Amino acid sequence: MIDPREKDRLFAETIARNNRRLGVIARNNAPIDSWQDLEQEIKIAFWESLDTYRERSSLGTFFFSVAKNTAKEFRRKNHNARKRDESFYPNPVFVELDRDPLRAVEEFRATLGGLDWQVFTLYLDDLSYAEMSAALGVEEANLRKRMSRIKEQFKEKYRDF
Amino acid sequence: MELEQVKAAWQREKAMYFHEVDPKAILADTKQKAMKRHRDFNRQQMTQILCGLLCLGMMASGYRRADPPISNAGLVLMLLCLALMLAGSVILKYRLRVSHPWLPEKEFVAEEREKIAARIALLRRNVKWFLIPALLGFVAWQAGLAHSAKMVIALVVVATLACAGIFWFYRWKLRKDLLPILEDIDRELEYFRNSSKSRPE
Repeated sequence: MIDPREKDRLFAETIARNNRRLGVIARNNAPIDSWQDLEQEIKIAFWESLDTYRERSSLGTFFFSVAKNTAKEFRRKNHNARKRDESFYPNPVFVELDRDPLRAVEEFRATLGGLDWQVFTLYLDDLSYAEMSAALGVEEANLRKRMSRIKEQFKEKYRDF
Repeated sequence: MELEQVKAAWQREKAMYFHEVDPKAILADTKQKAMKRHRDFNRQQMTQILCGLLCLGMMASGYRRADPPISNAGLVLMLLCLALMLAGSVILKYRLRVSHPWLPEKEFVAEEREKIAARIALLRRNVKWFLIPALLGFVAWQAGLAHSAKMVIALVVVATLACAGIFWFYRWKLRKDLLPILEDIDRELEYFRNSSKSRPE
């Protein structure tokens, strides 16, 4: 069992170092109304896991492993709960009223495939095409074409909204 | 809705979300929430156990030595089955509470699968081995005390309806809740297996 003071110190240090990373994990793995819930889940899971930390790996790797697995579990539970809710509230008026730009982003993002999803997310994060190209290892011209197709799809889908 | 407008809304939300927080405040908040979670879990479990024991006690108070043996045997059978169902549920909740998110991804997913499989097994065991005997026990208990054939028929009808209702709930829970998660986990495990096969030695 780790010393309680040492545990507090490790926790505070790791969170301070990985706070932005934690935010990105939460943002990419939870719906917009649950970002903070997932962040909280990860923090609690990390806090409880610290008792078993044996310095076999770096604390950053340990934290990332906990965050990734917790996010995975959260996504699975959340996805299931959402599907169940949808079966209870199939009324389209309810869904329509609930639509705001952020929900539209989520809804639209869920329809995109792997690379399109990444391109769209980076576009929302305001990265330039050069930065996207460096991050994804895809040519700029290809990214521009992809993004223009995505924009058309978006326009088509939310024309009447 | 324009995509630029949506992007601006996204950026605003992100700016609100990514604010610097004092790590010590996060530490205090996390510790408090972890403790609250433990307390809530223990309280819920305790409430469930006490309510279960109270119900069993109330039913056990119906035991009379002078009643016909079939009636008493039915009551004992029903109480035994209900107690086993309650114990199974409480034990499983304690077992499932333990999680190891620091494990490698593949092992963590396998552990999750075991948890879901255990929940499915509990549901199946309850329905298969305990529910029908408990309802038969209930019918035997009440039928032994009944004064007319009509009452016995009514009891059988009630027990059958209860059995059908619980069985429907079990199927619904399995289909809507547990099996989709299990399939999802299996797909993921399959992906891990395939990716480890395709990796060069």
